[in-house]
Amino acid sequence: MSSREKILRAVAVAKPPASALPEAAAYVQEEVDLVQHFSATVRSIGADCVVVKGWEALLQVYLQYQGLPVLNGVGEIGERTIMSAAKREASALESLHAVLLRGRVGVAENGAIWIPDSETGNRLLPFICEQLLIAISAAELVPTLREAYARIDMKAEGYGVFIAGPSKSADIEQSLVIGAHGPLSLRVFVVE
Amino acid sequence: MAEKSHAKAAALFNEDEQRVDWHNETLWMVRSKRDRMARQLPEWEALRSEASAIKEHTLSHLDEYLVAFEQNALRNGVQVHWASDAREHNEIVLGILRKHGARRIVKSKSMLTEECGLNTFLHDHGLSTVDTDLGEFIVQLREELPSHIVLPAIHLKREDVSHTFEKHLHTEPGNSDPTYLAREARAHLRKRFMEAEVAITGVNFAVAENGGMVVCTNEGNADMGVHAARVHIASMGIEKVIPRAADLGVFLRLLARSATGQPITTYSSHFLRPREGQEMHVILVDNGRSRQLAKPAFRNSLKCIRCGACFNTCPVYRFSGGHSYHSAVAGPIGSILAPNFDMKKNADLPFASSLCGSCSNVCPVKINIHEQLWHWRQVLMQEGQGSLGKKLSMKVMGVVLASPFLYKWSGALARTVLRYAPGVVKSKKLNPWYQSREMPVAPRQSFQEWYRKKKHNEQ
Repeated sequence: MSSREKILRAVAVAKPPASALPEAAAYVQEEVDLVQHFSATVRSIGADCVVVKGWEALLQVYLQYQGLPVLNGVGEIGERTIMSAAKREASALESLHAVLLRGRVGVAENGAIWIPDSETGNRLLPFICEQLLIAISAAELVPTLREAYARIDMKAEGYGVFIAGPSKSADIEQSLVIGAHGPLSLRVFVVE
Repeated sequence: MAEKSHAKAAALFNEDEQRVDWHNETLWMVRSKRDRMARQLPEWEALRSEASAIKEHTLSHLDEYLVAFEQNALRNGVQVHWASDAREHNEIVLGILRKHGARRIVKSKSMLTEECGLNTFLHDHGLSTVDTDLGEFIVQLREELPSHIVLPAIHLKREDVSHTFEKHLHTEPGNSDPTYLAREARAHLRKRFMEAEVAITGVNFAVAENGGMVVCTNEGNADMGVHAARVHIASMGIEKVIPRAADLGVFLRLLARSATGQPITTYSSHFLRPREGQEMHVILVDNGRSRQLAKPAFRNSLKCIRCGACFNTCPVYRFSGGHSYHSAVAGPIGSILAPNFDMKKNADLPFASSLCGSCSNVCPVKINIHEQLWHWRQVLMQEGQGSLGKKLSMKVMGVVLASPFLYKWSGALARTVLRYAPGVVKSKKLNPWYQSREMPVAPRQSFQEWYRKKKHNEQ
């Protein structure tokens, strides 16, 4: 008998009597200002949050961006140069400084932003760059993860990640260090 | 004797009182952060109940969900393996590594691989993995086990880390600034990520309806490994499967808040299909879980989502440290899982508790940990795993309490000894109770004597 058979048989015999899936826990949603709530949460988790009025305004910010060139993933402001990274090896992406990606769902309760595979260009991009920038539309904000998962078609893409803040660690004597193995900083643009 | 292992280790740990106080305060701070987060959600208790019920349902259909997960994963181009025990899991990993001739391996945090002793096994076969979670990286360099499932290096001070990095990474001697040390680790591990051929990860949640796996990190080390390497191996216990992606909207709201007091970890990565040119494997591991599932008193322990909240609140853990538990998973949850793996070796663990119940209070999936600790004690005593001293003293107590005469007599004896020969009981050698407690002042008379006298006076 294969291990598969052995395990499934053992589980079938051992499992408790059937119980039903519960009803979703009901809670009162008093969301007044999603943009305000989301921005405040993003700032509280170690990231920058800038609210801009319209994609044109974001384009202006992008064009005037201080520092090294930013690879662009936001179709609304121009060519998606992140696609040049698509089939590249990790070593070729190592020197990437800043990347601007298009988030698709923003969660106000925890500041997390959903980036599906198709928005990364290369799955390594959101992690290997030093500075990560994410743009999200105010219309794409939801109060909690529950609403977020209702919006996402999980089977549509091969990968997706919720990104909440810059990479971090508190593994050394519980001292919070911003910037672990992923980006050292995150800036979020909420486009109204 | 297994009975003494935790107690002995804890006694050693407590020799450095200042350090123990620091350890306790550090962990209580993490508990406090969890409390603050939980109180911000009015629906917190409802979420706990919902999560517990989802797990309950899943366990009652576990075989079906495992098959569904497998089918969907296969459809996604993921290779699915089944391992009955730790040895088989390790052999499967070795097989994949050998097939690719891989020598450069990175691993993100996986308690399952700790449980299976994967690192040691691979080392015995001439292969080494680099643990990329900063905390695990530190303990790996120190050749220690993690002392906490979420905060592996919580038992170390920054000076300890500085010494370790000085020795292995040649960092500035005496520089124990956490940011400096973390940046040095970043640079060193960045090289390992870039050259890695295989990335091994754990699985926080495996979603049956789409064959996908979720991995949560703050550091981004799981993704740095997986997206750069040609091969991704994900190791998971069979109890990690959940029915639907929507259920993540419950579990991910509870996990980080319970674990570290964050609303969510920085990265919640959902792996469904391998990227082009990449090979993705998942290993479903039993290793005693089906045996635990068969026990009505203990099966709820399989609901565990490995948040570590029970560790942070447990007074025994806070004052004895993770290494006192001699197990991959320490703390209260470890104490109800470990005796199932090896009853003899881990017989001491369910006794390493005051049964205060705080663990059950903070558990996001409402595992009745403190009740299971008590239950294990019954099982262990019946199986003859209790210490002779405990067995005898319980028998004697049973006899004394069952006899009114013996009860009265022993009470009188105790009061007499306490008053006239206190040295007998006030001895740290003869009386273990006295090692960290004061003896009570002996009352002049027992309640019965007082009652009789009072009644006599009133007549």
